[in-house]
Amino acid sequence: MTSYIIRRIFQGIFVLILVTVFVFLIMRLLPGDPLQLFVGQGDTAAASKEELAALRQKYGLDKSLPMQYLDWISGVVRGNLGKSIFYQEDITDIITRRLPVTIHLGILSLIFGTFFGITFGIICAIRRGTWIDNIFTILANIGITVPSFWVGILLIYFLSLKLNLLPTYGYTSPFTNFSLSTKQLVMPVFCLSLFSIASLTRQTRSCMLEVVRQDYIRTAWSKGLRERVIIFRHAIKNALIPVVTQIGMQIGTIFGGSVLIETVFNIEGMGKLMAQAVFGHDYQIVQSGVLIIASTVVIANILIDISYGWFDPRIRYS
Amino acid sequence: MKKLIFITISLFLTFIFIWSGCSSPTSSPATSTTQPTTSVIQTTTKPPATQTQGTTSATPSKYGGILKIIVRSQVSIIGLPWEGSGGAPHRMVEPVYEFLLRYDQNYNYFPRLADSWEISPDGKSITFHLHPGIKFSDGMPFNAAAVKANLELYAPNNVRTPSLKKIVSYDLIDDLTIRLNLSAYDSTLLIDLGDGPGMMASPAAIAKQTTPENMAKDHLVGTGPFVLSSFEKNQNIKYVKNPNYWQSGKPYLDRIEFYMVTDPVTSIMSFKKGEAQVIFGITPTEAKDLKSGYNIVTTDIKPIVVLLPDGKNPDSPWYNKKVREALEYAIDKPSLATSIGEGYYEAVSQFATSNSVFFNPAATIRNYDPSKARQLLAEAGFPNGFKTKIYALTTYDKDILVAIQTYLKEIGIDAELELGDSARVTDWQNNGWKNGIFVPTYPIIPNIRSLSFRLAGGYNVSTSLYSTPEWQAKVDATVSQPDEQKQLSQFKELIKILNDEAACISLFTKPDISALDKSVQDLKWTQGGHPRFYEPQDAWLKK
Repeated sequence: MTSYIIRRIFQGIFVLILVTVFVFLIMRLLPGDPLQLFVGQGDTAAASKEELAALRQKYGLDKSLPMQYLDWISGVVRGNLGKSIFYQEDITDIITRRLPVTIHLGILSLIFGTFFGITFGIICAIRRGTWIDNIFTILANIGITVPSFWVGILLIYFLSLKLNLLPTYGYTSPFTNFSLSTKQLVMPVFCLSLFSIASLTRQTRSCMLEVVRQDYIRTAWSKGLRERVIIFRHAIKNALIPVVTQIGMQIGTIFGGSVLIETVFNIEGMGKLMAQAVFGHDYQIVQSGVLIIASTVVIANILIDISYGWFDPRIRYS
Repeated sequence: MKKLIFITISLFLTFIFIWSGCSSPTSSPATSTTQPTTSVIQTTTKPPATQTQGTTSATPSKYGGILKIIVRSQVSIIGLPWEGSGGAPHRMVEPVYEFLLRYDQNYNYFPRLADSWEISPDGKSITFHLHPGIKFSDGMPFNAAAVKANLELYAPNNVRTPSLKKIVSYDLIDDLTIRLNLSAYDSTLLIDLGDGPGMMASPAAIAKQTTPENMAKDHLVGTGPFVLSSFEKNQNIKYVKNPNYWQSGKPYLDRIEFYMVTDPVTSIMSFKKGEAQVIFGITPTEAKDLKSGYNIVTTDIKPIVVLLPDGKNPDSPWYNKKVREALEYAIDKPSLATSIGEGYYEAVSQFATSNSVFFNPAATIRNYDPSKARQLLAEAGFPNGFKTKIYALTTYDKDILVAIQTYLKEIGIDAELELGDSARVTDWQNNGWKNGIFVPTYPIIPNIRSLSFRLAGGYNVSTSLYSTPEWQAKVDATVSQPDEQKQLSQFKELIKILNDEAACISLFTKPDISALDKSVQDLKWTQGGHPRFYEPQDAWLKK
């Protein structure tokens, strides 16, 4: 097991390097000069050639591409992610401010998505063919197909504007004002977890249906065990391996999906930062953001892989 | 039973889809396949009367209240006037900073921090007499030295004000009198001093070393009616009343708060919910929706949407003047303005509105005439039209772009939309575009400053924009003309040249539109000579 984990970590590092090189090159291949963009905002004239050259030197953009990449990666190793062209401040500070917001949103939506998705999936499986199964299945199909930002707008319209139950937008740290923070998070967390709930419901239902047809489950029924014991002690662990894989994949989706949700609900998180950085050609933020997101996904997938061993002892012994 | 339920639900959903598909569509802009009716640009058209913002009345309950304003842009850096994002100050700092002077949409100048000023006959110096008894919110006096400190630093920190670079020295005549000595007169200097460069920050704040995190707190210190309370980057800026404001008895409001909400739907719903009393930058459709319950305000100064063909490129069809003229004949401006603007935009026949002091009746008018456009194309050697591109920002109003594309198609010009992000647009702007029409992201304010900046000079679009050999010399002469009447006639001449040569096709005005709750009084939001202007010290909330 230890050697497996070490191997996975090295693989993860290799993946991260590849991802950063890929993003680095892609950003620089895009047409448009970020410095001209920064200077040329609004109803303005461009900077003179000398001023642009000075800016280019300030941000290290006058060096060759390999040198720029090496400078950046060596800074990352030392904990320095560089300076943003647009925001004019250290990227570490920007990310320190924004990342906890996205993590907060992401963790809550992951927890809700996982809990409700698996629960609904189990209910659908054990009540297969009943009206509960039909309703949850229809809702799951709707949840997979509707765009989350559209749901967000509808929620704002009904819950905030019409019923005045919740604030329209915004994010407050729970340490600053827990009550306001909770109210502000209801809608965005629901939207972010919607796809997760829907897809996990379907996946769990499918996996549970396969498992409950197995002989050992029939044996457990024959022995007179209660339904709850059969489901939670015998069936669920075997059914959850594909579900756990899906949860791991959704960690990346949460970061990606957060762009739209953060925009709709005006939350200053990583998703919105990344979107703005891409449009503004703020190379350093894009590179750093991708590195962080990729690291999160890699670590999550390693943990998911390790968890297989807990779910299925056969994997542990192989 | 289950089958019956399933069939019922399916039939119901099918009915809903068919019903919604067959219902009458909402009004759409000029992209329909039907031919719009020909209309002539009326020289006396006026935009629809916007509701007034409320009149002053001396009631005892003027004091108190928090004014909340939603803006659809984001600001991550505020501090000194030149420390805004990209170096441009934002309307959100105006509760703190006041201008040396103000002007209206006809460029009549009014005193503010400066009581009066004189321009020497040769135009090489301007002497300002400052209002006495004004202090910055940190207690520093506002005087000639403070003006010098601000102006000296603004120019090198901001490339957008070449007028300031003409100031060669400052004479501090006395504590409240300062003379600016110029290398040459620049008429855009007064415009600038009524805008960003004219914002006065405390010299103590200017001198203070700070960090990006503390820049707002340390540097945002002015003479204005409010002081900074808090700033959350890209989220909100909150101001609290300045108890030592120099205009006695003002401001009336306790606080002003700006909320930056970029998503248009969220911002409108927040406004409708009452989470703010002002929302800036709404679309004409949103304004139409809000008209019944709120005051809709458009800017006094009406920027103009223009099309810029690359007339300087000999390889481009647009090099030929007849082709450029055909472009103007091809577009039904009044229909376009009406359908897209919902009554808030006004078609124009030149780079000035019909009721503007700059309007030149001698400039060529080209009303919608597609047959004339085809004739001109044939004369220019393009009887079957040609392929070209329309260059614009990805987020530019697609209704306008597609409408122009449709009009061009009708005369045989196949225009492909070439949309780019901000970086690409800046690149086109500064380095030129090929065989196409560039649509500036922001409409252009019709004054000498914008014209010299954006349609002339070594910056911006002049790389591709057609110009006559004497164009730059005429622009420079207009800029450096100290006599107001002569300058006015010179500027009118420039507008005529732009029009006659079809170098720049002016389509319609596109003022910023805002909605104000009816409780907001005397804010004069976006009124005056610049879309940024308003009067936070006079604003109050009707209870």
